[in-house]
Amino acid sequence: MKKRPVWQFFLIYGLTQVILLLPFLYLTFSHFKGLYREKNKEEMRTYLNILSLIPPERIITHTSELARITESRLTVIDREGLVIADSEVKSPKELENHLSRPEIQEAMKKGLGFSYHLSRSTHREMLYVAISTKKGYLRLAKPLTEINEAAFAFSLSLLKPAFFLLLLSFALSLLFLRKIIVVLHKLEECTNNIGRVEDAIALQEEMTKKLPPYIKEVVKFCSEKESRLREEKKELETLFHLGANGLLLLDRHLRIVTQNKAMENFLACPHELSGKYLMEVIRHADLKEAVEYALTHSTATKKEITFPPPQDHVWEVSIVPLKEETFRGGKVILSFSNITKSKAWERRSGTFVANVAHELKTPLTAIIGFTETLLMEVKEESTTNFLTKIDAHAQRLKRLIDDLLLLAELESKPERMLGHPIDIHEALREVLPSFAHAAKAKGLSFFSEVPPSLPKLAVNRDKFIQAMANLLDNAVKFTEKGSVTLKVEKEEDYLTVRINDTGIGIPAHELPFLGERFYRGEKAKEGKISGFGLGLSIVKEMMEALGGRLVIESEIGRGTISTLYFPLSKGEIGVEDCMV
Amino acid sequence: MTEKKHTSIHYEQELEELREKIIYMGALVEKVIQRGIRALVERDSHLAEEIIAQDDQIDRLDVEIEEKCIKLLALRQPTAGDLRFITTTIKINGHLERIGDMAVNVARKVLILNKEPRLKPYIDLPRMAELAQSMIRESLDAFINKNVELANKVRRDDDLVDQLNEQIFRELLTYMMEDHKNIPRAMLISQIAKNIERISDHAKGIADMVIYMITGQTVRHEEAT
Repeated sequence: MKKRPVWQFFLIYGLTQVILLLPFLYLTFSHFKGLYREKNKEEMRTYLNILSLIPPERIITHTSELARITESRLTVIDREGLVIADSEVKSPKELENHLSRPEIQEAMKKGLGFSYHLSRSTHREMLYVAISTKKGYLRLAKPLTEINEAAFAFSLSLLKPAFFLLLLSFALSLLFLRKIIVVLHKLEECTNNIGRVEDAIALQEEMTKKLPPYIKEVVKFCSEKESRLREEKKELETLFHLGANGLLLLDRHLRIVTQNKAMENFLACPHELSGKYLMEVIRHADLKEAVEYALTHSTATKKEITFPPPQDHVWEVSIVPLKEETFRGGKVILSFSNITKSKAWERRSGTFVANVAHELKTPLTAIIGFTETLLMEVKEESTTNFLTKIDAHAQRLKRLIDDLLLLAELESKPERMLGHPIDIHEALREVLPSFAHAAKAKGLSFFSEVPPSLPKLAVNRDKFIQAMANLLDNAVKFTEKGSVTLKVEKEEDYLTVRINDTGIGIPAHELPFLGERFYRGEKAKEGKISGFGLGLSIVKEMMEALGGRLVIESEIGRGTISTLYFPLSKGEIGVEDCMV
Repeated sequence: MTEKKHTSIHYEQELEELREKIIYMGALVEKVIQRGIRALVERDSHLAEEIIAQDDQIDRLDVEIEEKCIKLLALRQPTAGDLRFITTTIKINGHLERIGDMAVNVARKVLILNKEPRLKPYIDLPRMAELAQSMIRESLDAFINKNVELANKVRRDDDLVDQLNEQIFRELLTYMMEDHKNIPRAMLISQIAKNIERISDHAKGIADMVIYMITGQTVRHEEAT
């Protein structure tokens, strides 16, 4: 704000006062005018009353003298309305008949009459007062201008002290205004300085001298709060920059708002980054699509992005959209971590497992083949016993190796999980009867609820059947009494297969580890229930390869619900719920 | 664009959006090429099918970008740098769309090739494809960072790709002469090489347009320096 000079305030103040005074003056004047007229009217009536006592002949002869005494024009009129004498007209006989005049008319009726009108002989606005006597009428007239002038003169005499008072008030207000404006200017100066924290102490000192204490308190409070905020900001910034993960904050249009030091190192980009589009800095179509997906669905997602040689990097990017209400216009955070090394290691170990499994399978096939041949040949009971054991263990080993090979395949070629659309009814018919039978043999009831019309599912048929078998096998294996239920439903974008059992259940602390390779629950270990702990991890891998998911809910002693979500429209992006 | 601001914030924003879109288009095309090479080298039919399916997305973006450019030209009457930027974008857009089509062509041929045994181990073909891919990447980098030097390098690299193409053809001829049963496969591989050679030509075209955008000079029909 520009500094306003004192006189400007003063001018405004003065003008308002004068404007307020004008109507007051007008009212005073009109009031006095009325008052003067009344007073004159009264005076003239008194004169007329006195004059009516004087014999008319004497009035006629002394008209001019009497008019001078009463300071007005005197007219004597007879009963017929003829003017007999007039103080200002030399030949009254020439004057017209006055009977029609309003004041005479009034006097005729009431004895006394008033009126204001223009005199025909003198051409002036006059006040007329008439009285009725025995012989005729007496009339006194006074020009109104005289009355008005007198009222105005009186009003003017009032104006002088009023003007003096006005001046006094001007002077006083000027004095006070100056004081207030000086304080205001100081306040303005101080508030302009509030933003600069280094001035805070000097500012406070200055304020102690010049400003009222309450303002000083406010300033003190604000500057304290600000320095605290600055400190917090510094702490957060340090945290932001110290992290090993690259962080990028983008706005809704995927433009960079800010980035941390690690990100700058990742990008090795010397240019200014803020304001640039994500695409300009990291040209990767999958990344943009994943970020847009996260923004439109407001869900956190994770995405692996691979850069071809020469960079040859693999990055894992966590994408977390921030709500519009809390972050102006909606923003999104990307956290980059370089997983090139771990990816390479994973690939190597995966290949290693696959190779080993493959190498083991060849001799194992020979063992199984020869054991079976021997079993057919040998009739001796003790030898058969050993051979049966060898066969059982070899079969077990074969299953393990098959599972490992399948896992390796799912990992390296997830697209193999897809296939031509299959009819779910038909696929289930292949897997359900054997488990229904197994359940019955164990004394469990087995239900399946599959709606008659279902969309086709684009999955590899054999692998779908294996996933069903793994889950049903678990359900039957871990249930001692009660039932196993399979239920297929269509839920929005997903087709769900829910397998519900009334088995021993899984303790809450074990739930997060389900689906990890070779992880077996405590109960499974205690209960001597056979298995390698690969079944669920195979199902989990399959679902991830499909872009769906496996959800397991369980309560100990009450049973377990395993749900498979098959996406109906195969999305490009594998969405995984993030912890944030 | 970024150096000086326009008086109309809206216009500025439209230009920036266009820039982002064309870069995205570039990223998509790069991805397709990268996957095309993988499908070829790893003999992955599934990947090849995905590439063919993804061409729709590139085609849609092509139309969208072109419409945006025309709208900007009609409504804003751009001049100087802006005009060069928009016209360059139209041309680069066309090149990128053609590259996407080439990748689809390669993918189609890969599908046929995969049904038959491998004719020979690929050595020069992946090298050529990687070179073409890096040419696209560098031409787009040159466009984004307004780097004339890099654009010139892309123009020079085109000759290398041409040489590799000839070399591959000569090699394939020997296979064809050896056994006439090899001819269909050798022809397919030769066509793939030709497609990759066309891709590098388009990358060179992009580099030409980048030089035009930055300097205003037309270098389209001149030899690379």
